[in-house]
Amino acid sequence: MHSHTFSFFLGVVFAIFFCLMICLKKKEGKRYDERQQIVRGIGYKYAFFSTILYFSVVALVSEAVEKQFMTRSAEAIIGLCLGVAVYVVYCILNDGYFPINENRRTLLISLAIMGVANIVIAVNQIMDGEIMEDGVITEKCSNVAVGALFIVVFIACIIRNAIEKKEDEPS
Amino acid sequence: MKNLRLKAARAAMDMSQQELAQTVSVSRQTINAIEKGDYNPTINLCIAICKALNKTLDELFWE
Repeated sequence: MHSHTFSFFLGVVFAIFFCLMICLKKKEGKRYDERQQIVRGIGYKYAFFSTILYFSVVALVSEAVEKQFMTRSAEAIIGLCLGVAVYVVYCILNDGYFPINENRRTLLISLAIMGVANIVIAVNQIMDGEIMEDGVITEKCSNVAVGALFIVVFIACIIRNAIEKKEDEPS
Repeated sequence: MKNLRLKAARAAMDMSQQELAQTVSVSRQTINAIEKGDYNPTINLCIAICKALNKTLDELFWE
């Protein structure tokens, strides 16, 4: 089996495992209050329109320059990461991402680890020149996109923590 | 507009935002947003806050 295909397979298995863990934890009674649900709804809206805008711009630019500069898979991966980033960053900055009384430390640590791991792989791929083939960005840019996503989310968490510390009541 | 009556009622009960938030099952930031006037709560949350602070809706939320 090709090493990239194997890595991709491992990534998919890990993602399914991670999603299952999140779903099982959700059943333990995590919940959002009414303001957080509104924030999450607005976040979904912004993410939806950002994704539509992104795909429209990519399609228009490809038509205008009459040259494909990304493979279809790369386009989709970057679009998905953009949509997720818009949603998560909006929700974090407006305090709609973490359920009530959620311990954020575990999530912050896992975000940092996944971000750094993806960035390390991405740097290796960039140095080996694997990201681009014949001037076209390939689906191997997924580590760059996902790494950037996790780092952006991690930074948003740090900004939110700073805002909360500033907002904390004096009592 | 800031809800100073809510803040005063909470302070009179010697409750922190976190304690009030836990009593009415919302996040501390939601209580903070209501006090700052950034969020307009639903009637259900208004009633829960009033019960927690032993106040009426008129006393806390009516202009």
